[in-house]
Amino acid sequence: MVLLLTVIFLALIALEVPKLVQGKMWRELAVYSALMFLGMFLSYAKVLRIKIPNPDEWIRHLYKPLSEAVFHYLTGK
Amino acid sequence: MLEGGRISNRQLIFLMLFTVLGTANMFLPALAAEHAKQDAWLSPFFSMLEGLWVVFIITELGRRFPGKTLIEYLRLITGPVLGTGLGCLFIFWMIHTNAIIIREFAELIVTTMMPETPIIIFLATITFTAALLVRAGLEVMGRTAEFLSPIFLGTFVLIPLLVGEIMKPENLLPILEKGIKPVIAGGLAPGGWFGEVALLGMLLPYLREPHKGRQAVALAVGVITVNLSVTGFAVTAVFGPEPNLMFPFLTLAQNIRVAEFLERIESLILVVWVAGVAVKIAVFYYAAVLATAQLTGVKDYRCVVTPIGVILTVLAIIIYDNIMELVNFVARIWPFYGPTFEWVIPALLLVVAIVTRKKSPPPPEDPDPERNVGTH
Repeated sequence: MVLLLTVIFLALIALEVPKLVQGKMWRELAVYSALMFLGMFLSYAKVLRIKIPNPDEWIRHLYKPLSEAVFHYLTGK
Repeated sequence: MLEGGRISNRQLIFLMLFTVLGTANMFLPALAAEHAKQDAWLSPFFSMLEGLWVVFIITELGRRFPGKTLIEYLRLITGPVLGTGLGCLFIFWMIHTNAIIIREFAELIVTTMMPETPIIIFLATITFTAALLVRAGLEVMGRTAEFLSPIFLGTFVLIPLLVGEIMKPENLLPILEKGIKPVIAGGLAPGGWFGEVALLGMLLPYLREPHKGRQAVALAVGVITVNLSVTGFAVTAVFGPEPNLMFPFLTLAQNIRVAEFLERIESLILVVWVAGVAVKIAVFYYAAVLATAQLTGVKDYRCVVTPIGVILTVLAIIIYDNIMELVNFVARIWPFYGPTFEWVIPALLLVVAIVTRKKSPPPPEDPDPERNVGTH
């Protein structure tokens, strides 16, 4: 799995980065690298079963009181 | 200008149709029926109010800042620091929502059609398809939506007609048995979907006639309402007030039997639906890509397409452990999480813009508004 992931990422990078370097688009390259790094980090963390914070969980906690209040008012449950 | 292409208002209507109907069609009937029971067909009308409110807010902002996208006027209104922070939040919202949509799509396919295939295959392939659409640019997306919509809408009109003979209209009675509140509760989750027309904030400047954007999207909201209401009507009339089905619309399609030869057409429906969802995901994807590009100031938005695609695919896997968590989120949290970004923050922005009298001058005339080929 790790190997497959690495091959996919290398292929994606090999397809895009040379064009950016040739065009001297450094800003684009920086943004590309930052986002790609984030994506790769999350992917490897998932495959290697490293615990990563789940933003969805935070959102669930944040909105739960409001959601319960509104649905209680509307449906009595 | 990051996006050289222009779309017509008709194409915008179709894009918005797919943006809302893409998933609402499959997931809504069950969610609305949970609270509204036999009145599920009335719930979309309450969601429609939310949709129209979003259209009003976004187009009002668009009028004050012609030729600018949400991300651009965000900074004008709130200043560079807060504006960038809010911009990041909006991008997170677009990517997160899109990851949810991708997961919904994949879960539906895995649950109903291909239980043996690992879910990652569907997540990755649909994201890849959407990435191709996004790279091709807004005009191609507009034309894709235009081309697909007759098939898509036709199918979703056809099904309620074909199940006509097994409908039991008495299932719909009594109307408003427990008052109006459960109907509103049933309309909350779809309301969050209707609010997805807020992506208009990213597309408005690329319309050929931006000043007519409001009526175009309002029309789209109307069509969506009718479509969802008819779907809810058909589902309740066939299965009764408590369908207890995950995807009632698909089950509806399975029940079609016309003259002993037209049967089991749900695979066909799924094909059409997959195409629609691809457009929906592409619209969200495009908005996130364009927003990221504008926020970081890159000259070509295509360089962020691949990394965001990777993030989308991974997020779609990690945010939920199973389909129940996903359904629970969509039913309970999404009705509040979605509108926060769809109209609460935009409405605040509008108020701040009015109070501080911030406006931007109209953009320079497009030298050739009729051109059809993108310059990107």
